[in-house]
Amino acid sequence: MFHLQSLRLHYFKNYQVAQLNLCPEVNCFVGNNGAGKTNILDAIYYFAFTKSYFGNNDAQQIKQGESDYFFIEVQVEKGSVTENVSIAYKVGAKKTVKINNNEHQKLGDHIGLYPLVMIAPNDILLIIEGSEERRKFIDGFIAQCDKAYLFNLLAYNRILDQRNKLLKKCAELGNTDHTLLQTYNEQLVQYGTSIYQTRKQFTSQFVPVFQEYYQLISGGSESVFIDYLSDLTAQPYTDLLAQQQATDLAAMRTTKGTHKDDWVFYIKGQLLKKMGSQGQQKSFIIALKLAQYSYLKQQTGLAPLLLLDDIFEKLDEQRLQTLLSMIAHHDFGQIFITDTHIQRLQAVFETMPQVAVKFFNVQLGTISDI
Amino acid sequence: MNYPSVLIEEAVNELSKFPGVGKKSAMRMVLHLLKQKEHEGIKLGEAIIKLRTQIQYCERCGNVSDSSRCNICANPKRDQQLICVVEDLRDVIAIENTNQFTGTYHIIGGLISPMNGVGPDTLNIASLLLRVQQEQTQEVIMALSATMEGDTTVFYISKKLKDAGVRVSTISRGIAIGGELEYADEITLGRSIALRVPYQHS
Ligand SMILES: Nc1ncnc2c1ncn2[C@@H]1O[C@H](COP(=O)(O)OP(=O)(O)OP(=O)(O)O)[C@@H](O)[C@H]1O
Ligand SMILES: [Mg+2]
Ligand SMILES: [Zn+2]
Repeated sequence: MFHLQSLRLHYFKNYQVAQLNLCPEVNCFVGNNGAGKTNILDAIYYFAFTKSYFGNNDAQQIKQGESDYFFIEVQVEKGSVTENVSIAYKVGAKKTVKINNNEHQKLGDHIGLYPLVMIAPNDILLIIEGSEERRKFIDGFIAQCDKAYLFNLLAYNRILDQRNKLLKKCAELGNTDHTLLQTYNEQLVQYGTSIYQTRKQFTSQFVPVFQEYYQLISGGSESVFIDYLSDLTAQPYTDLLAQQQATDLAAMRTTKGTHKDDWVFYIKGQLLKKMGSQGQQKSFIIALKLAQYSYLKQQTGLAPLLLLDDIFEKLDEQRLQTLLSMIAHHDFGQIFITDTHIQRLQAVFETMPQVAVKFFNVQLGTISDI
Repeated sequence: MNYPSVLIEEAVNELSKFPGVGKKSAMRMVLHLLKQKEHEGIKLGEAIIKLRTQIQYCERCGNVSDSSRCNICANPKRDQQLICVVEDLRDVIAIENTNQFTGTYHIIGGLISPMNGVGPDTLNIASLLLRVQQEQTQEVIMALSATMEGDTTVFYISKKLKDAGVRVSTISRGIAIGGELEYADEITLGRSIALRVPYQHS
């Protein structure tokens, strides 16, 4: 088990300074729209992933016009030991991540140490947007329980960028360095094939867990399924690259590979994106996240942090009740919730006296205990 | 910054072109020079001029040299049939400091990275291939950074050497993945060279 004891921010988003002592169970952040509630969740997300949940670049995380750096410091209680995690970023300098003052060799070393699941209003993008959103979600998910996967992914992306640049250069110069292209092909094949195998195996393990949670959330018997699509299913990557060579040279980019992979969501055998009702889509997302929680917990042996942004606005009664009864049953580790209405949250937690709760009042960049 | 003298300003501007030296530390150097006896400053100036005008590069391996062949290439005690391929001069110095290596070097001058505009033709790779062929080299040891670009370069060169009848090995990567050679401590680096492994085509 682990939980965050305290959180300190300097010049992070709309906070100049903030210092919070956290409750090991449930932490509620209450305040008006635009006060900075979601920014607190993003700081916690940043602590776990060393990047913003919203895909902002690091400079955008700095309090605008007031500083050229930001700083996040978290005290983590992990079993009987306390870890001090600090992340600092300054414009033009390298980002540093330290645990008990020891700097990580690589930022990748940090991912997965503190597993986390976030449920947020824009999760619906996973269904309606293109494949990139789903790859980002699944990659961030697997990376939390598989170090080698993260390394392969970073390596693949780097080689892919280099290969695409080479293809452009070949077109410009009107001649092709076949040995170098072949070198990149073999490197892409090495990392891509391993990414493909990990994703395939992960999907087959994850889908049954997901289906279980979908039944729980929807209370029904609708069948759901997630299908993993990859260019590598039909053909070994080596053959695929050889076959695409002329196309790639003409297009000046790599047209096939794991960077094009996708996951397709089905409900009752039909495309969720097209045929799913709004309620079914919401159930699908919540089930996806709860299954992620359960899977991560089982894989890492740690109860992940659970970040719930605006769920009282966005979830309907039935799905909310399922989630709340899980909270009441202590199915989760430490939880962070945002809401605009304090009465609504207080009423909910009065019904579960066995759960320890702390409320924070958020007002335009300042936070105080309630 | 305001300067009391154009001479100081010029010196500060030149010194602050060094990597890691800002205007402030450049200023400190200048003030230090002025505080010392005049001949100290002149000695420094002359050393720099001599360095820039008289330095030579070994025509065989690319190492710095006082003549057309460097000390290492000219040393009969070194195994001239063994070539260690490195990125730049800093790596030669790091490996020499281990006292573990008795062969020669070939400095290729960088790593293949189309993103940074560096291709095989901008590096000293052709000269390496030619050298191996002409000198009937026994073994080529790749001692390049354990980065993706290092991997690509090792991979590329070993492909080019495939038919040359030379043994190709890489330093064993006791060095952290993503680690630069220059930062590897001497013991790790020395051991890496001693325990080099034959390069496998995957
Ligand atoms: N880098 C930054 N510098 C200064 N202010 C920022 C920065 N990034 C975001 N903000 C501000 O933070 C505010 C949004 O905070 P946040 O999204 O946390 O609000 P919230 O309390 O979650 O609101 P809601 O209830 O509407 O979700 C915005 O007013 C935004 O301008
Ligand atoms: Mg919000
Ligand atoms: Zn030489």
